[in-house]
Amino acid sequence: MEPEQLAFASEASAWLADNVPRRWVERRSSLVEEEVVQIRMDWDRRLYAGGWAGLSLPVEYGGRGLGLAEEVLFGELAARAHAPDGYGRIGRILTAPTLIARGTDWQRSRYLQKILSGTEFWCQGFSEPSAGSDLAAVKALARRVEGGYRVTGQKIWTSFAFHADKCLFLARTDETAPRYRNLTMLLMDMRQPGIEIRPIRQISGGSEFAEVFVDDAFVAEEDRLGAEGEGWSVAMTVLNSERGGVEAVSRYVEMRTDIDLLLGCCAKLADRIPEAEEFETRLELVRWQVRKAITREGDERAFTSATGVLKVFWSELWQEMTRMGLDSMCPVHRDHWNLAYLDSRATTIYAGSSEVQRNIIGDRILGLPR
Amino acid sequence: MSATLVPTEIGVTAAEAIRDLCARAVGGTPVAEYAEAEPLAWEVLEAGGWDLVGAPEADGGGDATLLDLVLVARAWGETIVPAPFLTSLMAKRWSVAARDCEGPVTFAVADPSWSQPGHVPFGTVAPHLLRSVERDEIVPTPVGKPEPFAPSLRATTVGVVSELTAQAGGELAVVWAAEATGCAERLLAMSVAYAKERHQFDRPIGSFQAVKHTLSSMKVLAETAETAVLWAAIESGHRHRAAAWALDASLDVAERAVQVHGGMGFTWEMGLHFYLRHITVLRQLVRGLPR
Repeated sequence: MEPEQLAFASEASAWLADNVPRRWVERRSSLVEEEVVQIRMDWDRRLYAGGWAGLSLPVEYGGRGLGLAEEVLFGELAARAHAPDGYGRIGRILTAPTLIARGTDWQRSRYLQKILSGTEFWCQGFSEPSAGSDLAAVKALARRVEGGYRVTGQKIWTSFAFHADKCLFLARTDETAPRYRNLTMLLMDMRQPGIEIRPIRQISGGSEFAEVFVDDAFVAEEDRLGAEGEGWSVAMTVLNSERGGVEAVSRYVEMRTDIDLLLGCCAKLADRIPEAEEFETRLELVRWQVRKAITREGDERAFTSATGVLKVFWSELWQEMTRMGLDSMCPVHRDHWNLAYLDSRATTIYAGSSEVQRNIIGDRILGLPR
Repeated sequence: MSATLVPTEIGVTAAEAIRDLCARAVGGTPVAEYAEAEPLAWEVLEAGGWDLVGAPEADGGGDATLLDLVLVARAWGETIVPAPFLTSLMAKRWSVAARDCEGPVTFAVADPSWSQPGHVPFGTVAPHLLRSVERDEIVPTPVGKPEPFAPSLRATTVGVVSELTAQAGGELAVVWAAEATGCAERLLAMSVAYAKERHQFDRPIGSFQAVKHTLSSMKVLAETAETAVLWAAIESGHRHRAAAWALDASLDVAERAVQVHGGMGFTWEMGLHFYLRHITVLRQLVRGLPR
């Protein structure tokens, strides 16, 4: 490792040791949902105050101006420290890089610092009742009005909507233009009349995601992200982040806690250590896969190839891990595995189902006929 | 946290050269036509100095890192040319006596499943056997019983087992696993090409999601298997676990390659079985290595 990276790592370890909330490390699975949200929101703010938010984002917007390599390094250390996942993950992982790639200067200075500091939380308004895997079929309609748009429609599976201040909202702006050219990305204020949020009860019993009903809500002209009609291409930028390296590292952090439970206790009890060790090998490969991708950033084809397999790889592994946890019938961690098992059923559905991901690998990476 | 994933120049150069050399020897020829023949003479490898790529610079070697050798072994694995290249390369990396030998070198790896304790890849063609790494001892390769399961490995079983150090065992595990990942890359490419070409129900079979998803899963495995051998090369503490995983993943790819090729995949002449056999034997060899 380079001397600067070594210094970065030792500084990060020391900070994590002092700042990861004990209550999270020790009692994570027995906390009620409100407290989980609170701890996760506080974690975003603590990261920002400590200078650990937005490691790979530019300094001028409150980031650290480092690279994906430091994201991976920090992720590895945060994983070992069993740090929580910040509640602002949509803003941090999806909105921020998209604003940097496609946003205006005004949008960047208006939103980025508030995302990183845990001042404003975001949700992602993509899926609709009849537009799931077929995302281009969104129907929520944004009509041009003086100074901006009036939006009406319904979104579903919107994670974090209940506590969100802002929404990355994909709307149809043209009823006559052809598919893929009729959409526009909007930065919508969730705290306004005309927005109703109904939590959806998930199979785990929790309600992290919701239905969002939008009735004549307003979005100002300057809150359009990209040009009118470019929404599909902006959405692809968002999805690349959602299925890419930074996201995988953040999942690695969460999964590392689970593998440590298995290896330290539950798998031992179930006499299934070799299997758990294989899970650990696969989990470490998530991190190494991102590291390999970094070395290929200059070669678009190789980079896409390396990152394109991540989502399928970590999501399917996580499900196998939680099933082992459940099967172990560990008396100490039973509550945790009950919840984690059910929660992890979502991993192969959200952010592009495994079926869609395999189509993408087949069509775009392997070049198979459609 | 650990060292760089970027190979040095010798690794990149040697891997390219090996790929060229194999292409010249067998490019365009079906594997079934050369797996049991001698398409690449030892003298060609030796003349290029490729067997010394991993040896110390002071002894005329290329001083390649283990990460560099992963690249070389992957390139080699793509064609499974039946020549004692990787065994010689590794023996000459560890042993002065091996470097002084004329001709290829191999070693005997423990394998409890045979009637004799030592399993020798290229035992029928390599005249020298590295008997002990620590004592730097080379002996004439004992005449063994041919073990024909994987023709591309020309193996025998013999009455001795080479004394490899744990360090050598770890490096060899990485290099053989890397070779298997090279096989997997090649099999994936062959399967993708076949799925584009082969038509049923008036459509290329690769357009059916059932086949497409099999190929995509092969891609996931091939990508992560490559990552596993890179990781194994860099972090010595994880060599065996990462190599074992890469070998398993490569075998999974090979099995699915047979499936994607349908009935053709099950024929001798299509030759996929040579890769399947090659990978299974590499797995057995790696399991016999000291840790």
